Amino acid sequence: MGLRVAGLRATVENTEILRGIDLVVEPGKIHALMGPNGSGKSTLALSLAGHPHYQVTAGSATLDGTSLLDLTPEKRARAGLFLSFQYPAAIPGVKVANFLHAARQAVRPGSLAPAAFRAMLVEKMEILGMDPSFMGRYLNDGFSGGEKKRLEMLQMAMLAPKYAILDETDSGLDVDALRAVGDSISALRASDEGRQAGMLIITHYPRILKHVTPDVVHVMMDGRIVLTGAHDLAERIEREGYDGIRDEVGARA
Amino acid sequence: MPEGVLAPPTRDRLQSAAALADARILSHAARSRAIDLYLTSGSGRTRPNRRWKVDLDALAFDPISEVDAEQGVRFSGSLGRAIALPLATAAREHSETLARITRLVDIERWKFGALAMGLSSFGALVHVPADYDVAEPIFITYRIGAFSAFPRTLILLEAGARATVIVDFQCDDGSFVAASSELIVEERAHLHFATAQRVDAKSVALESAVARVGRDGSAVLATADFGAGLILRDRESSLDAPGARLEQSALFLPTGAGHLDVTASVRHVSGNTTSQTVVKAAAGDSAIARFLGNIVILPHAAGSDASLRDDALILTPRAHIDSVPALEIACNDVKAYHGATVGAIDDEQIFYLRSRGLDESEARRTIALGFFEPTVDAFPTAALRDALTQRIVETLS
Repeated sequence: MGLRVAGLRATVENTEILRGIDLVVEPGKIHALMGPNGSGKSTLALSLAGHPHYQVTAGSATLDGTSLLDLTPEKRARAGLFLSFQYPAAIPGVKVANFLHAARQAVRPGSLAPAAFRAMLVEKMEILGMDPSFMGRYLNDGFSGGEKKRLEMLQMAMLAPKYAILDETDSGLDVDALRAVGDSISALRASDEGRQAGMLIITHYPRILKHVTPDVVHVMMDGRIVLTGAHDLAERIEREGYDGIRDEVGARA
Repeated sequence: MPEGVLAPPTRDRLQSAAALADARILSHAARSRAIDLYLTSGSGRTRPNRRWKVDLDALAFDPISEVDAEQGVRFSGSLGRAIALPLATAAREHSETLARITRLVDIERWKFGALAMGLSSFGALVHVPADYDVAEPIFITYRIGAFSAFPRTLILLEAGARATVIVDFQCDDGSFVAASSELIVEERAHLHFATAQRVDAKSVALESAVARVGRDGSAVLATADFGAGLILRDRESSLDAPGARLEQSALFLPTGAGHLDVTASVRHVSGNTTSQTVVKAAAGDSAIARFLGNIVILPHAAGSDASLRDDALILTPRAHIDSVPALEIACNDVKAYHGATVGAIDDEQIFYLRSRGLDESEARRTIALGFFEPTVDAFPTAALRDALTQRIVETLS
């Protein structure tokens, strides 16, 4: 069981970005993946989700025993993987409500009657402090940064994945939006469908970790995970920044 | 494309066809004048070139229509106090109304409008009396088969009247249609006018349309064009008095070797008038589409607000879309917006949808349907919108 990544290497346009990633997210656990800009965090997220611009050159990634790397992006989603995008694409003309229904049907076919779907939607939107008018808007089209991130969290709540990767979902959010993201994660983990969800929260700043307490914190630099620790590692990063850690791991290596 | 079975009709042949047509609808003298205008005026389009294969100034067709003047047009929907009649009947019973619309619209200014006038043998008149609201949509069906046809659709909404009119052309492959739409929306009146057409490879559909909107009146004009034949529309809307509003939308999805050419002009004649034009064009196979959006704001039309949004989606490498916006603004105190995009479906959009469980073809279909959504939404009934969505899905698959 678990989201298991071993020896993962990946390139973008022939430049190696991931240089051997080892990571295990157990069901029900929250991991934070921190690191300075350019360390490869988003590349890891997009490689696991199957973005066609990222070539995995070595290593493995499995989700509860299913190998992800041979699967198309949609089959990874159906296997239970969810990526909250740092920059979600806008799709004009596609209404949020219709899209959510199509996505839910694709990922968990036949699991909800229309009335139950609507009830679930209303409940999740309340948790995220989203106005019902969102449902009639076009997917991410003309959305503010905060609205996009709330919609990513709404999708996570509606799809109830086994494992969710949140790629800088906290960046650019105000305090209220951050709290809403935290509440949404808590709500998913309190629901029947999401009780065993494992999370990989990618973040540059430790702010989000005041709203969600991680079980494990990883630090990534230059395409590798250089340090793994408990919650207090995030506090150390907040105090010292990444330079101290860079000096320490650099000295050790 | 129509194949070379016919040569362009000669002047004599056109004039003798005009002389055979119903003189009660239009006098022979007026028809003869219209035919001369057809022959002497240009289509305003470029000559055939590497992409554009059709010479619009030398179209071949049979000028004699076999379509029955009474049986060729059908109405449905509940009219109440509104009048909807075949043109031949209207010519006998409402000749003054016809003359009034004809005078205000002057459709002969367009080459193909002149052709429709000169040869018109059938059509429809819809007349809604003042302050009457026709609650149900009025459907006009032209049954053309594989023949030539020159139908005129004339609509007069008197002050404060409201109506929705949907025109359906039932054509078989090989048809040649030169139609006119002549629309008068008086003060405070509201017209929703929609037409969707699929033109097969050997068919031609030409439309000249004029809408005139009076004080505080509004018109919503929606078109959707599909197919592998030739479709040309010349549309002009004139906002004649303060408070007049226009919303027009055009959906294009030509396929095969289809040629689709639309010019949509909006004239802000008076100040404090508003227009919105939305065009969504996609082309598949080796189809080509041309859109010319022309916004004219006349001097003294202060406070006019015009927007023109046109987006093009290229579905295959051989398809081609030209989009030409033109804004002629002769007044300072106005708002005019123009935005345009041309491109293929974005990989990031596809990946986003796939990451949510939709497979690639579903993702492409969802994005394309979303692209067209504003122009589908401009159609007046849920059944029509569903049929259009279905047609888009079928065309894309």
